[in-house]
Amino acid sequence: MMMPDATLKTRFTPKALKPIDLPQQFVSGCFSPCGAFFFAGSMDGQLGRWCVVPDTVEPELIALPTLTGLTAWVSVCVALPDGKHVVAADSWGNLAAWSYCADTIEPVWKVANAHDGWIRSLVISPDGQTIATCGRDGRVLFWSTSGQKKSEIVVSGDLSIVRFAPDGKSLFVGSLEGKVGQWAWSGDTSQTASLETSAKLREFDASPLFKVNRLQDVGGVRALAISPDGSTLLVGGTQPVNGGNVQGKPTLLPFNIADGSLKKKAELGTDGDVYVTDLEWHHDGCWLITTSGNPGQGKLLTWRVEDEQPLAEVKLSNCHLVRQHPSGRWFAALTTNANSNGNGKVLDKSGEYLGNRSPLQVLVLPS
Amino acid sequence: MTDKLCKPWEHRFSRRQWLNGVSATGIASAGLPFGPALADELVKQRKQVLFVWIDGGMSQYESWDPKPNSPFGGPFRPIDTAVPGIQVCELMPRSAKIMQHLCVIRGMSTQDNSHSAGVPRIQRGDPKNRGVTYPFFGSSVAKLIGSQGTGLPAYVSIKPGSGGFIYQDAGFLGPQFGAVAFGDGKPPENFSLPESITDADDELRQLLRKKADERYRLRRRPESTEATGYIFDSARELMRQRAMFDLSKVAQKDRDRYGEHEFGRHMLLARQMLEVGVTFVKVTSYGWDTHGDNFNGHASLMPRFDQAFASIVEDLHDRGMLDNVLVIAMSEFGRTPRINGHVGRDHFPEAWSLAMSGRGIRRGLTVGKTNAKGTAVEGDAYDIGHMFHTWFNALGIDTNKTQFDNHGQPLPIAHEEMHAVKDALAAV
Repeated sequence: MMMPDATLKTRFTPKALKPIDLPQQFVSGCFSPCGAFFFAGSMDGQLGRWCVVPDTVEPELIALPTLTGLTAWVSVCVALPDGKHVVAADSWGNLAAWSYCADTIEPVWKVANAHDGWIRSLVISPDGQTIATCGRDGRVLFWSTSGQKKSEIVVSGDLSIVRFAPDGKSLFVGSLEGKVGQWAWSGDTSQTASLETSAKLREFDASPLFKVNRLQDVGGVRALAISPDGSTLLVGGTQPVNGGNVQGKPTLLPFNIADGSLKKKAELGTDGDVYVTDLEWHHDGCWLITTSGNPGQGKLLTWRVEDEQPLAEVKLSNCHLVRQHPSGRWFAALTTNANSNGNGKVLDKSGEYLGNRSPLQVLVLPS
Repeated sequence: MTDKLCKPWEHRFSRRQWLNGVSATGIASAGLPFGPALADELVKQRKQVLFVWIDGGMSQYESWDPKPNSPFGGPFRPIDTAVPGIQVCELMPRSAKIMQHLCVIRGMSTQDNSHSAGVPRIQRGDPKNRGVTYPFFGSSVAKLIGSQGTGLPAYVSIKPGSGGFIYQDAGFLGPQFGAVAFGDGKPPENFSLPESITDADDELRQLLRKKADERYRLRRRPESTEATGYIFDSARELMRQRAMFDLSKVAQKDRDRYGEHEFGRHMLLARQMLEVGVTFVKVTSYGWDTHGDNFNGHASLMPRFDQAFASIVEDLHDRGMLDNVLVIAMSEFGRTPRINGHVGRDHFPEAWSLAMSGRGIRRGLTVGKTNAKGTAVEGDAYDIGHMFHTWFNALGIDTNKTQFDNHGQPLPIAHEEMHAVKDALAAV
């Protein structure tokens, strides 16, 4: 293992700019391919939409009318590469798409009960033609970009993440039971297939990220990404110590995709830091990683597989995801406000029950 | 006791136990001798409690009081139940199907948001402070109803971890009314007689023990000597009933229904104990303090609770026992509407839910309600004192006429400024 030198550390140490205060709590987010729009999924069925103000020293967001049509948690949203549509899914199993440049706030198409319950992940195939979704019902479903169901794959478990390989020839599915599998993907979705049988290429042992504690299944696969060259699979989560108030070290498991071997086990914090929540490859040559643990504890890290230590880390309150702006000049981490916890009734100055918010922390790497 | 259908060892009543049982069941005028018909009547009139303690705090949103598509409602869907108009969280489909047997109090509002103080405070009924330690509900029932002639401990606790005798639960009532705890649902060690000791040998040994007890009693306070004798007597009866601990003898179908997990096994043992006549069975489930990852936590916690809870209510109903057994499932508080940065919910005593069924309880309804976001109770709010009144009344104990006697000090059995929740009580 290598120790990153000081120059490299400096190069990959993000600078936090002024956070953008979003008005409520959000659980998902994405940019449009042109970078002019930002979307965030709320906890009450709305897809927030903002215009990203260009050419400012520090990015700003201007709120646009919220997109409607979903319910409960809008758990995932992704902008299609067509530059016109954003697709989102909710925790009640609904899937919908909007034309985000249009005035209307209603979806252009919607599939009610696309899954039986919580859709946890949604991803677009590298060719931009297929939407893959997975969720608590243990299924991976494939959709056209106009919302037509193309095929269905039955995988058992509570499926937390689906990702396509960069070459589009296989896909990876992770579950909250700590399982990760790779299946062949031909793009031919004319028939329902069973990934458990013929198409399965490999399993990756992510069991350190899962345990049963009394009645509770704890941990599982919380983040998953494939390196741009398709050689390495990164699986993130925690090594659970207990259930209830879940504790555990945020952990990354990098696997060699060719043979399924584990390259190392990278622990990125203490037991209170808990989960690796998201992973994105930064084009400058490092991974952007977010963690979220006990209220107030969270980080954004820059990291390379070959190094023993992270290149750098920035403490941020409960980071749940990171998204790079398409300009490549900055990226944003969805966080939770400080002092987000506390027992009993907490009221604001007007006597209203106080909820939390999701500040969007803008960060840049030194040029 | 000479009836051919009524074996002596099936009715080992001590004088105290008999008087206790007779007075509690209100059939003092029935008189002796009695045969199987009266024995059946005794069983029918038996008063029992199943108290399911969900330690740490079950979320009301993810269980009995869903707030769909609201800012604090969480990710899960509400589902319809067997009772039109009542919905519960999708994580409890089996409880939804037996809603006609349940009464859910959605208007709970209690005083303590900490575990350390809140757990005993809730289970002691949060009475007015009089400088004495009140008994847990189980100990109160053990005192007021007793073993009802079974010879078994009146108050048992099935819990994860270690077992033993939890005298602290009894408060001022004295150690006799503490809980006999079965750690991990297992009988105490050395529960079976060594093979070298015959039943006759054992009887002789017990006679010797009783002689020793009598001498011991002369030099001790009666509370401690009565507790000692009680423990020995009930332990011997438990030994006779030890087959109930062997869940491998229970049909696989039932074990599957309850779940092979810790809570499922413990609830199945609770069914066995209720069937042999234990008055008060407490089952504890730990691990519900979901300050972090609340939703994924409840996604596995709730279905396992649901399968065991619904199974035992179904079984009590199918066995005709639901009219005898008061069933209560509750935590020390609910969980906050606010979702913290660890995607958890914190402690929230201000507005939460509990579920009941069985003896004396009106079924197939909810009582009380919270506002649209679940942040406060709307209308009547119920504290734990209200529930103690309700439960005692459901067991036929008039809280206005019954008092504890703490060495000559009369003490109310439930908070005297509160009252029973009448809507939750079955019409008499």
